[in-house]
Amino acid sequence: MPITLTIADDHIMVINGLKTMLEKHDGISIISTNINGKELLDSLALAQPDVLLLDIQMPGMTGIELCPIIVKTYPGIKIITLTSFEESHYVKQMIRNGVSGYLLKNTDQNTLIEAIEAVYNGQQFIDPQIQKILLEESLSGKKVSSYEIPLTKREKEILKLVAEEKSNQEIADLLFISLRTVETHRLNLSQKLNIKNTAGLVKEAIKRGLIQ
Amino acid sequence: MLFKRSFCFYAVCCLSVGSATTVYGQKQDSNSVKKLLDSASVLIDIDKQKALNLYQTIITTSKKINYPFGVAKSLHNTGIINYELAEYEKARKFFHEAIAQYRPIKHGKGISSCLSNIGNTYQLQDKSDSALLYYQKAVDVSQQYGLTESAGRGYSNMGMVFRKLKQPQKAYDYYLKAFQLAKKSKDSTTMGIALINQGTIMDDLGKKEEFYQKQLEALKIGELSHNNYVMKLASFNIGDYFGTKKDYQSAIIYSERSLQYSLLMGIPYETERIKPIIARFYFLSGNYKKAESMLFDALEQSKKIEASDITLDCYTILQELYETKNDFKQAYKYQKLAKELNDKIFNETQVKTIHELEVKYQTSEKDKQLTSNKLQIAEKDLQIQWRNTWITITISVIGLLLTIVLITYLTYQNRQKLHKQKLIALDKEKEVQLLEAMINGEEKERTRIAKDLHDGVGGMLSAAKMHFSVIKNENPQMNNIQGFDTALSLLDESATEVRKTSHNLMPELLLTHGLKEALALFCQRINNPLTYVEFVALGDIPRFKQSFELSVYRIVQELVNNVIKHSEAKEAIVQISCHDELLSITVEDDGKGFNQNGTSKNGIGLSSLHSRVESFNGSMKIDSEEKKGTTIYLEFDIARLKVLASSELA
Repeated sequence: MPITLTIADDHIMVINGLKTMLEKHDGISIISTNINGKELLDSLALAQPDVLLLDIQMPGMTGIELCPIIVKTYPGIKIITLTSFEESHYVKQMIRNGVSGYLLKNTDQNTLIEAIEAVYNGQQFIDPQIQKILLEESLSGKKVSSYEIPLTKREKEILKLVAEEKSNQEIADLLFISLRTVETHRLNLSQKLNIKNTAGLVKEAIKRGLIQ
Repeated sequence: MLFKRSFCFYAVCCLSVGSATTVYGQKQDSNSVKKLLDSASVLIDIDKQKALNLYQTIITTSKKINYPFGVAKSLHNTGIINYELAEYEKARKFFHEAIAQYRPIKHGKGISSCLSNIGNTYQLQDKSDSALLYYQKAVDVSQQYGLTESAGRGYSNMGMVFRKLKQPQKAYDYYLKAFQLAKKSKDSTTMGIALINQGTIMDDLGKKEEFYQKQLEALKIGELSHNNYVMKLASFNIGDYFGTKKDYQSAIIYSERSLQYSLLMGIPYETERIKPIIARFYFLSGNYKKAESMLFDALEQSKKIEASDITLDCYTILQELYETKNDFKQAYKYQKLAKELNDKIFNETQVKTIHELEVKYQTSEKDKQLTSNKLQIAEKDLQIQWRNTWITITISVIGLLLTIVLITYLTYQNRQKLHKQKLIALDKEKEVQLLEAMINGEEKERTRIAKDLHDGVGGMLSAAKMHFSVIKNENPQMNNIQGFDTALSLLDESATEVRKTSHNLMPELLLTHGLKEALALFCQRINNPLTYVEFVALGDIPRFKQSFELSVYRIVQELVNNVIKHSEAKEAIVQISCHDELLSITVEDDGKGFNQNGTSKNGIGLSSLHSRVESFNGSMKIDSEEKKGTTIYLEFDIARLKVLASSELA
């Protein structure tokens, strides 16, 4: 018994491409193709496939909006996002919304079939290209040590003046900036360094060699 | 006849000076003043100027010790001195002042005396009306205070005035009144004078016998009261009477008597005056020797007392005498002497008169000048006052005008300024609107192109790749054809490129996830081995109006692109933070920096950024130094933008 498949993509050409890649494969049978969200929901109401290939960008409802509805209404359907968006935000969001796979549109026949089969078998599938991006992102992710947090020149000036026990107004007068700007810089400093009080800021200034 | 008239004045003056020496003491303090008054009254006859000064001192002292009598007496006597100096106006002034001082202390004698003296001054100036008025006042006051003696003398004075006015009947009546009052007060002097004058009036009327009778009566009164003065006058007049009757023996007897009384009184002038008259009687009676010796005696004495009028009389009679004696040489001598003396007297009188006139003229000239000076001063004062008034008015008016002009000018300027500001604001608003419209148009176009690229070309490329991958799988021999894989990977790259371009043109992520995510991705993507771009987001960055988010995104995009392209920086920071409605963005690099004054391509780009930032009421601060990197700081007040954003997102 072949895996039933429904496609939702606003590009007919993409749908045709997918059909071409899948029609020779015995294990997969396309039961419906839709070019927008409304059509998709109508077709799902008639027949539910095993796997759904869902594009993100479509006129009307987007894949992001459709996903939670489908997951809620038809929990049995495995969804693979097939999109040209490679940003990790989309990946994360779609996975949070309940998709099982994430594929890029420039995928090849083998990867596509592999993904459909993996999802059908209850596994998760992320496009190798996406995997690579996610890995890079996690490697260049946020630095935890406050020592390495770079401060802007202005922030350094202000940190130095704070350490010299200058009031916000005095700092504003010295640097020819508004009091509000000084307050913003100070808040940024506190948040960046995770320091709440002036004493901590003084310590930080000494640590950074801004004052003796 | 001259003699008969002169005694009347003498009587009055004597009274005035006499009363001046009288001292009335009420206070112990006043004793010294009284003494001073005594010495002053002595001074009157010796040195009038000194006396005046002394009286001035007494007035001051008396005022100090509150002794009105001292003041009154001094003023009174100052008046008398002026009277004697013929300063009648001045004298009257002092008499009036004295009266004012006498009145409160009820000193009737003083008041009456002053009034009577004022009358005298008028009489001397031939102002009979005024003289009579004051004499009458003096009489009234005297009677009021029960001073009969003074009243009598007052009437006597009035009689004298009427005699002078040639109203003998009236004059006679007043002398009669004077006599009656004098009789009452037992004032023998006034009684005698009144009788003598009554007689004189009779003489004026040609009634020789009555004249004689009156003189006899007067003589009797004089004898009874031992009044030498009255006796002297009466016997003199009787002598005169007998002289006119050519009874020279009787005339000589009475005249000699008059001379004796005169000697008793001790007034040399009066005595010497009678001598030539007696001598004439002797001469007329033929006793030349007696006449001659008497004349020589009188001549000697008169010269001694410098009474030239008597000397002249003596010369005249001597000339007549020698003529009768046919001693023409002597007669001629005395005639010559008489003529010379007469000339001298005449000259003296004339000189005196001229001098007096001159003094008067000078005084009046001085007065005139003084008055004209005063007038000039007053005129000048008036002019100055006028000028001052004018100056004040002019200054006020000018000041007012200046103020008005200034206010008008300031108002005008202010209005102009406001108008200009409004215009600038309008211009700016228009500019902002234009810019916004332009940006919006640009963004719309970009969105359209992005969509076309993504949906059209992107889709087609994807589809093409799919077909090729099917072909490859169905024809295993394709694996051996190198070109096929290359073409496939090129196709892949094209799809990616199209997608990237589309994203750059219209970042989908910005629309869906906002500034923070979009900028984070942008920084991540732009990272390259040459420049590391660090992205820092602080605080909760809310969603904004789409045009604002797009603008900010584009601005940061351009700034970062500049860093990558031009700065040669190793590291860069993109920091976005939001606190208290203030969105701040810092883009900083450690690159080569640039000279802010320079006009590079960079500058043009930055100025366009400036206007974009300003279009959202933001501010941009560029801080760059050559070889020290560049810091660009952006700040936006997001209160308005955020509110709008929330409605837009919904």
